Amino acid sequence: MSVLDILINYYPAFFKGLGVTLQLCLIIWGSGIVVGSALGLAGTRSPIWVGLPSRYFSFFLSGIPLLVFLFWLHYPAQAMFNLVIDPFYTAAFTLAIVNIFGVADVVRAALNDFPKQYLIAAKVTGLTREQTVFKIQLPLILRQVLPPIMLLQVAMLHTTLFASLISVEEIFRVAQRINAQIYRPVEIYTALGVFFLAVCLPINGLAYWLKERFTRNLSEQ
Amino acid sequence: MNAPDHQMAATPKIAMRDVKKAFAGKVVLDGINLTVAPGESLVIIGGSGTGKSVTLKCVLGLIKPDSGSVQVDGKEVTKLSGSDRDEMMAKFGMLFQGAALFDSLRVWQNVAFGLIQGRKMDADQAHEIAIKKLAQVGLDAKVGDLFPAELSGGMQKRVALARAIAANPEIIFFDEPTTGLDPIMADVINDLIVDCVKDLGATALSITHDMASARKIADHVAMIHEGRIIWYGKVSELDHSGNEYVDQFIHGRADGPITKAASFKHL
Repeated sequence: MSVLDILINYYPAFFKGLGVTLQLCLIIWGSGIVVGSALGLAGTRSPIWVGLPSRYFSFFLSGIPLLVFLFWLHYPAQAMFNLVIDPFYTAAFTLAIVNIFGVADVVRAALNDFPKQYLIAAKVTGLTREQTVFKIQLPLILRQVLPPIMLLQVAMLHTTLFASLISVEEIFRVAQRINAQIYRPVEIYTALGVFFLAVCLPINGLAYWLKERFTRNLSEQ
Repeated sequence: MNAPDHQMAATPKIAMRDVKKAFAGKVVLDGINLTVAPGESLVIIGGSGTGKSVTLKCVLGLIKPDSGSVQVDGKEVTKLSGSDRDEMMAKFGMLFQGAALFDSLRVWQNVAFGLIQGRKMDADQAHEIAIKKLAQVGLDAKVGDLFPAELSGGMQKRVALARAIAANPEIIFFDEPTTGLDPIMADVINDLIVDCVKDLGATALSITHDMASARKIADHVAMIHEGRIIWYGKVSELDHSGNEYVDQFIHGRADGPITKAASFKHL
């Protein structure tokens, strides 16, 4: 049985798994970008008591392996509080938290590194505060954060595979199930790779294009 | 020693009197007195952290002094707000140390940005002015369609100069205009600065470490040290200032009163 045969015979199962993976991604990406950007902004602009906890939590989180965090929330935490939560939501919550603080770090770093000269240039040019934010700060910061945030989202898509370890029926678990039935690991995992490439490559390509397009420096050429 | 008022028969273009500023208890400006006559080019020299940039920002109204007076055309800058402040800012142009071009905009848009956004000028008219200003600094009209990231450091400085003069300002500030450029390109930029300031009949206030630049663009030079003006004079008097601080600085010597004073501070 070739990779193509596997794709033809099992595509409904793969697509179902891919659907669950993409649902996970929508939650992780959406919450990460919206809440993460807000937290990143709070980390630089708000009073210290708002920004500081987010920085400390992000630092704390970076010291915990994702898998440990996921398993801890799935087993001990639910046992402690006598809860039973659908593994899909546990995985979505865990990965969303990781993404939120990852995005917050990127946004905070971009805001902290924003060259003050631009703001002075805006003032000297006679721009109002609103014009400065919308015409200068926002476009420049967006261009700076977009490539790393997109690469982070691709990395988060990869981490959704961990959800299979707490029985979420995402695409990797579907591949495992098919393999358990027909035992063709090479073909099955190659087919899985094809699915991931199809989703990840365009995003990766766009991120790299944006990075090349906007962060190049030709001053020495 | 303070900048004398001898040339100030008429209202000075810029006047700073006993300006003091401290940040978190650290005194940065300790009573700056400085006057710049209309059409004059004054260069402030001094080491890093001596208060040059803060002085410039006080004149621009970006930093409010703790005490003292900063006047432009006889108007107190520190008390301006709203439309009065906008009117004052409209007199200014500035060339930044790192060019500070907006990399999301094309070169011509960078030059015309203030005209379109700040002065509500029609885009076509602003484009025409931008191209003229680019030509004035030696750049072809084709450069106008490029992005800043596609230009060399010297070209970026030229664009920044074109932006600084785009609105025909009465006063132009130059913040380390030759930093990061090779000596030849630095000299080209210095020449352009002199030409542009003369063409506009503008008043220029510059800060720099680069003595070659200071000698080229200055009518008068003021040296700032520890937040005070310790010497002021004509650029031609620089080599015979009789001031050992100035002497050490202009010759770039490691030993001298500036480094001695700095080393005592660490004890």
